[in-house]
Amino acid sequence: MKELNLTPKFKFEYKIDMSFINDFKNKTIKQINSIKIYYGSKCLRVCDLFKIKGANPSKIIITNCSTMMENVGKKLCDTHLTVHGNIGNSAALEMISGTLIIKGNVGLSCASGMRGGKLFIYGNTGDKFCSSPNTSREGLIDGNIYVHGSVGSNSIQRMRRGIIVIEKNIGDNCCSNLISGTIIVKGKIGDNFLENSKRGTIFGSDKKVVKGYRKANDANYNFIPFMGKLLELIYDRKVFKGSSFLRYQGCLANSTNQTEIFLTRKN
Amino acid sequence: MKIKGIEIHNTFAEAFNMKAARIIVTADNNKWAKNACMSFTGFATSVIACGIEAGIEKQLNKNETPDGRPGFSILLFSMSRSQLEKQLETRVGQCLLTCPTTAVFSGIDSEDKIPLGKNLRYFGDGYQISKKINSKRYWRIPVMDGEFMCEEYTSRISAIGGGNFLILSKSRKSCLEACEIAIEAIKNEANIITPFPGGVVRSGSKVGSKYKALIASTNDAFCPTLKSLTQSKLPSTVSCVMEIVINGISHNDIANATKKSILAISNSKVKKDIVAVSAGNYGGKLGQHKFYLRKILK
Repeated sequence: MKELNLTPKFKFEYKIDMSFINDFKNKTIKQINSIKIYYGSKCLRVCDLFKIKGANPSKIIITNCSTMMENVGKKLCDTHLTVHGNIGNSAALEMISGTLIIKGNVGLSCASGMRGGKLFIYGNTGDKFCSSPNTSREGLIDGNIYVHGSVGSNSIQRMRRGIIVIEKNIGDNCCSNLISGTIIVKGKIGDNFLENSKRGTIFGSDKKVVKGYRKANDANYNFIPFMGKLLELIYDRKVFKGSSFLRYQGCLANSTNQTEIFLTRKN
Repeated sequence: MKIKGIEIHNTFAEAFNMKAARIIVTADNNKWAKNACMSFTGFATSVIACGIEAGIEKQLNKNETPDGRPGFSILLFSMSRSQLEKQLETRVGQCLLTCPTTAVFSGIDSEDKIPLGKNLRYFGDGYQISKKINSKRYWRIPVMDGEFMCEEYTSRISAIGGGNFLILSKSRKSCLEACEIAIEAIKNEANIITPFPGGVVRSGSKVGSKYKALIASTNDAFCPTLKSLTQSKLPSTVSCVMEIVINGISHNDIANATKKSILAISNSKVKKDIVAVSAGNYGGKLGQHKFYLRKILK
């Protein structure tokens, strides 16, 4: 079956809640076309707003996206969704499983309360990326995230587990209250990074990341090449910057903090 | 039936349903991976007294292991799930965790999970770190040479234990030589192990004993020294018998390994001293699987 292709019929002036994509499961094209959604103050059918081609509701492509599209991939479950263009706020909100590929920038609160699945963002993300949603205290509960660009401020709050790879920079007040999980940041790090963290693993190349942490040791960590190999399979690219790392653990200000930081060793 | 002068008895090997698990042990080099595996599979010849039957399945090169280091895959067989779990945990804790540079991974996937590093992580005393990648959890336990990495779970699958054949020879020297050839032929065969020392058993057993406390005793019908005292099954020219026991994941795995071993003997120089090949069974009443030698070798 050919993937389902959605294209907006006109340029949207009002915001659209795109979470209706989750209702596509096990539905025929006729049924999908007749799903009702709100556009401004009007209640319209999907076919009034989008041109739909294809037949496979578990593999969806949305083209010509705009920032008016919000909640793209909200509670996404077992669906492969590809989005072309910039999109609005709350993408991948509480995403459960499946794959969401965003070929553009995303707005605020992307991947808040994400529980699983894979999220690839080939652009920048706004503030409050992976922040705690209203329904949960934890920002990222599980899942694999790749960001090709930079991440905004106040991002990655109270991360429970999962893996985040950020190719460029990360803003201020990020990675606060980290509980666990792995964060790989290849670019620069903003102020007030890793505030009040408990555990978790950080890979970074900006020296700022280890400020306030003790240098641990030069022991052998078999898991780094092993993890690199597995992540390469998930992200289809090399995720670690460099192959040699200096390990820092033990926060000078907080003795209960067991977060470990691997700083890329410069050759 | 004869194969290159070796008579194949019209009999069958009787084997049993078992539960199996596979783990992959890696280390910085082959030497330490082997040290760990030899220790792990030590005293694991028979479920009668060892709890499990275990052996090295095959050597793995760097490209075949999860962490890109040299290693070995090990197969473990047990009659019950609880015994398999208990033995696996004990042996990983005492033989792999303790061995320098090692790491252990699951080598098989099924719905039925059993703990591998799940409980061992407590050795880390709170400093252990878990990493969940692709829905699998790995534990990093701090040890004195760095970290011991282990996967949280491995899987349990149905398997068969007790496939066997007996080599009837004119002398002990040639019998042992034939056994070595047979074991060499299936050394790196997938899905099977030969759990006994060097893959060979000299103390084949029968069910029961004249002593009430014993459930098994020496297989007098195949003991050359008892030819004149019991109803011996040995031809007059036979003065030594040795057995090769094969455990495998499936019926086909054991049948193929049996065939390969016997053919290797028949193609060797030692064949002139081998009188016959037979198999051990209990009359077909105990085991769920029968391996008919002539059918396998057809």
